Amino acid sequence: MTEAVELNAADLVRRISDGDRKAESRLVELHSRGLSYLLLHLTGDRSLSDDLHQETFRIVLEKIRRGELREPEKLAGFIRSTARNLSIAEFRKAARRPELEDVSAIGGPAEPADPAPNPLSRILQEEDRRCVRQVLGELPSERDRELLYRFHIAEEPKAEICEALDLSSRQFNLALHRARRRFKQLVEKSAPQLQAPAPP
Amino acid sequence: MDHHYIEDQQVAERYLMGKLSAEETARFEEHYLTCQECLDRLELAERFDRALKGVAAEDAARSAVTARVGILAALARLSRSRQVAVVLAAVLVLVILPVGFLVREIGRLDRELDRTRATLSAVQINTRILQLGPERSAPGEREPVHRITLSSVPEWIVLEIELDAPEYATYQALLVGQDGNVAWQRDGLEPNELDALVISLLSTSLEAGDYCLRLAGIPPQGEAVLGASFSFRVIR
Repeated sequence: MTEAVELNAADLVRRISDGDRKAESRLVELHSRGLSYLLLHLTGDRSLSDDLHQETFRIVLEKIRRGELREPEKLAGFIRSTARNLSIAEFRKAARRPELEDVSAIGGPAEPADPAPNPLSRILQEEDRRCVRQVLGELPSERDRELLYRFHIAEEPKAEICEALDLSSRQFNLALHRARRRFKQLVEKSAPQLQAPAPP
Repeated sequence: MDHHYIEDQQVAERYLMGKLSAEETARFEEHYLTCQECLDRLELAERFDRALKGVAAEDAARSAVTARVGILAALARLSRSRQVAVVLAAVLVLVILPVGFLVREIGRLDRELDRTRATLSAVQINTRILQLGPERSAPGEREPVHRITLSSVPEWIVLEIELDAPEYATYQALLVGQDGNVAWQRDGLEPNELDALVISLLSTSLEAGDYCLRLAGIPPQGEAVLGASFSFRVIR
């Protein structure tokens, strides 16, 4: 965390301890989007992550009001660990529920939820795939295409890819950066009204 | 964690792949909580990664279909007399090849592609989580206690292994089927802050049967040290 952000965090915590309601709103405003992303990444469930988003801020603000945050400069770390602990608690709660196939009273095993995306998400994802195809088609060399497949699909480490394709670290970074930048240009150009990120 | 480091080390992409160390994960998550630029980078990386995987899945399925259809296309390009000769030879050499099988196979592959693509890119509700405890007997000596029933619909499943006071910073995991073949393996697994290893697998990689997940601790130097085994049964 940068020094400027640390000072800001310490100042926010001090003001919230003093009863400043505006500081509480500012804390939520600063961290809300990042917390939403983190919780969605941890849970994969938008509805659950919305619930945990509220609960996280409730716990964090209560703790700060009571003066129990001993290291105000580590506010982000505290928010993060609170979010993670809440997610893990939900995770364990779900795991402790009896397996549906063992509970005959419910009427037998349930079918897994349909993983298909909603229509808007499907449109966004089809458009993204079209843009990726265009990016792949515009790549200057087969080596760049192979780099992308090895890194994103096979998830090979960068060092292995560089050795196999005889690339320097800088060349590797440039190739990835070019592909991502071009993807971003195509996505923004082709459907500006669809720029809202697709739910995972 | 500064942006130069994040860009140079592909931190956002490796975060999405689950390949950051526990320390890097903590630093990056604390960073992006307040960094709009990194949140934009993450969301773009996620879309790019998902789309590229979708394109790869489509291309793989088309290649499988094309290989089968290609036989018929090649035959169609021959002269009439050669076509008759090839067909007669095929009938003589082989048992009659049902064309209907090819058509059904194409349809099946298309449906499988749609389902897998949907799984790779969608939100999944009520993800199955299997908590595995270490075995007290040797693998195969008794029936697995842990069981999971899977349908034909592809889905992610999660295996959670709680380690009692983990001795090593990283582990190797090997998932072995009852036929002894390795279904999946990964090195460099690091326990999370609750001393647990959490592994996500696509259900299509698991046939019906018993599996044994073997862990080996990786010391800083020297060979891997075999650790606990965890068994479970997949029912389809």
